[in-house]
Amino acid sequence: MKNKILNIKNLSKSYDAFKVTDKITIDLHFDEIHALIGPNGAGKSTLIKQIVGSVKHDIGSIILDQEDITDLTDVERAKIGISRTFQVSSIIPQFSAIDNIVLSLLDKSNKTFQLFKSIRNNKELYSNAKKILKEIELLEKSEISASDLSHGDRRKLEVGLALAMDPKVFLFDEPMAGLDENGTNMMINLFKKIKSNSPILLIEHDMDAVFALADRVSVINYGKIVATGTVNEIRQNELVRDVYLGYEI
Amino acid sequence: MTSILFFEQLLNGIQFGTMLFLMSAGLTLIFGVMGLINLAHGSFYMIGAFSAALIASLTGSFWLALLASLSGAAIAGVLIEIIIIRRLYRRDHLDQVLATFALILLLSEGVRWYFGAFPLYLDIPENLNGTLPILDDIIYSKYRLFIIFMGLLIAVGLYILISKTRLGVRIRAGQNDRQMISALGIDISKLYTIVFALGASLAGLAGAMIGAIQSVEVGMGEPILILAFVVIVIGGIGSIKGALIGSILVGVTDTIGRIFLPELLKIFMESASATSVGSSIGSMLIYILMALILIIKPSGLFGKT
Amino acid sequence: MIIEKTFNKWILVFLFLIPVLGFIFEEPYYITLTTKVVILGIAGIGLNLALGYCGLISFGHAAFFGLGGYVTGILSFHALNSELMFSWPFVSSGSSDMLVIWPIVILSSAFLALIIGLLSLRTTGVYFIMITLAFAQMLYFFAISWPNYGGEDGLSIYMRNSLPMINTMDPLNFYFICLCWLLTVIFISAKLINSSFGMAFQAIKQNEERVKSVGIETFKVKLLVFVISGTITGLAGSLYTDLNRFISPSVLNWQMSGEIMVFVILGGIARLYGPLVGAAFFIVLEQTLGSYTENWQFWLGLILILEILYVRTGILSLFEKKLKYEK
Repeated sequence: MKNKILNIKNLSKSYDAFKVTDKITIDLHFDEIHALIGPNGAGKSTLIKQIVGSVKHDIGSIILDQEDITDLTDVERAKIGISRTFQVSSIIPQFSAIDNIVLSLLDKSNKTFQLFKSIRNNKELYSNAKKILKEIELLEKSEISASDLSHGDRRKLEVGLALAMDPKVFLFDEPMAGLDENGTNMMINLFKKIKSNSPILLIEHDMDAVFALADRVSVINYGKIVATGTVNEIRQNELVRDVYLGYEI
Repeated sequence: MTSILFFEQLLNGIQFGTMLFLMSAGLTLIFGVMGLINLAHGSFYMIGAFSAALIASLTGSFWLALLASLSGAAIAGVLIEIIIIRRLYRRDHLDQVLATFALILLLSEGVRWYFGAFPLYLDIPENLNGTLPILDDIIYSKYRLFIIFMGLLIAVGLYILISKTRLGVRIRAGQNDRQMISALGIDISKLYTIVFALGASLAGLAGAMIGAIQSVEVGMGEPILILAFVVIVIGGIGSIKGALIGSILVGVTDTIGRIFLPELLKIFMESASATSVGSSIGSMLIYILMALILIIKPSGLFGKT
Repeated sequence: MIIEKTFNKWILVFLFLIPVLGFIFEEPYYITLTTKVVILGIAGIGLNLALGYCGLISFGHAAFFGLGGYVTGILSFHALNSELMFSWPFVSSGSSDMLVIWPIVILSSAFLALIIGLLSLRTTGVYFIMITLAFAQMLYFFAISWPNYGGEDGLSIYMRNSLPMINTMDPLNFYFICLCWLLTVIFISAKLINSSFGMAFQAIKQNEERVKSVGIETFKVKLLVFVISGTITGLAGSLYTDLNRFISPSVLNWQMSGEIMVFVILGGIARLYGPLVGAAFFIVLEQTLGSYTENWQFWLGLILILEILYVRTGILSLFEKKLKYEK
């Protein structure tokens, strides 16, 4: 199992009789982008929530980098290296873009409980934040308050917040939803670049992007993984065609 | 003496609990349906009591006075809902807290202005005066039994209203999903006014019934309002069942604790300090109870997580 | 922003001028009144940290205000009566020295805020509001039923507590002591708000889930903010006892919590000087309306409702020049 950074086994969660995730077993190798696709309501976002710990699963285990994190809280998981984006942009609206990034850098640099030193004089943090803004092509908008950013720029900022944490794995929940072509291309290039450092579990509806990016693809339906394989294997899988009946894939 | 005293205090606790229920049922309903935290709920308790005292002094009838407490508080509820409260449903909790806090100042001073600063008194009717033997050697105040009876009657009434009537269906729909009731084509603002007035009239009735044992004065609503908050925190906000169980729990704990804690402490310490320590801790007991319940269940006994 | 800053400077000038004028024209009443504004302003600045900047709607800050007040009252009651306070673990008969009282007030308020915070911060939303309220009420009832220190009637101390070399009984001297505390508290708050810790707690107000997801332990951050906030308000309570040379359970009452909240909101939430302006407005209103009618609280309630329904941003926002892209 040395080649797996994230290893999820039998993860299940049900609300009353409704199983939102049903014995999900999925893993993430070093240096890969593993895409998770499936129809709306299949349980993709709930799976992400269970991996980051904001929703407690009923049974199953989660191993991150040989460490069992099943019983850790959401904050503890974020601290040891799980970083996510939200399906609906979740940023600090009244902070500028760069302050959003700096917030994301606080924990790693042990600055959260620095009570009296002015944060704005911290050149190191702000220059690191600028590097990240450059990666996501938001450098010239660094002083704009996040609530005034366009939808696409907020998606980028969202990814920037994850990048700033320098985590062990990324969980991206539809990062390209609503992006224009330029934005999508930027994301694709960015993801290809960062995956060697921290592999990515990617939920995405844009199939072109998925097939351009993913090393492996898993298909989820009714809370179950119905197929896992390379892009070509998935394209040819009968079962997947059934799940996506009516969709172009 | 202890078993008789205990039984009597238990009844006192239940009587206190049923009145708390009238307050907290409205409070929890208003929060559950409209998402409003209403600090001014105690003002309707006061308005009910003053309406009753006014009508009693004019007509001499206790029963008309009770009716006046219900209708007086309901009318005040409708007016205040239409003029002020409905602008607060979409606001955050902070705005709601402050506006209803301001409303307390406004209503309390308004009532003081009109009625003066002296307390009024409301007399218990003849046929409810005196005591009634319940068991062998236990006698208990008729009027307090009447209060318990009224409380239970209203609990049953509320249960039927909410589980069996059309209005109840709408209220439950409102508690579960605010979008849904507008999708069902229900006139929400009318429903909200009705729920608010219902809560206000229950509080008003409680105010009148308690006003007859204590006195009718400005500021009488706030102590009981805060106890009602404790009740709904314990029971789980939005749950009427929680409000009922929480009310009895708080009523009994408070009454029994204040009486028996000093007695209990006398076993361990000298009598004078046992009385003072016991009564101080007794007055804090329900808050300690609340803290304990919150440690185990942060959303209350019947609250949704 | 620019205009608000200038306005804040004028506030400070006024704070130095008014009592001096009161002294020159021999109107000590105005000194006392301004002292009251300053003390209530400190209490509000404490609450503003939790409520305005971190979004913790505490409806129980009277607990800290009252605790600070009672600790001060009790210590000095024992000292003035030369009466033993406790004999274990060491013998103490209180103190009437502010330099001794203040640290004890700070420690005890911080401790109380830690306990209340640990329990209340497990909850959010309405639960948090009601629980903080309930804890304050618990102390209120305790103070009423505990007979040793006056119970419902309260506790008088016939001499204001002392400081070395300064005659604290002189109204102007005491005023400047309170003013020093106000400046200290404003300075500390400003430092906190602009620090990385401040960044974290202001972010929590806007989007706690996001702050958690970047690995920040929001519970600890909120707890620390709550403790600092309660401590500042507790200190104000201590000064308030010294101002009146009297403490009673009414400062622990829910109405006190509501009033401290009103200072914050009237002045403008999450503004450094907001609570001070709010407290000043409140006192001026009390004095002017109070001289015309006994029912001045009726008008206060009306003004408050109008402000919440229609103005919403507090007095200081009137002095704010709207610039795009500026917080």
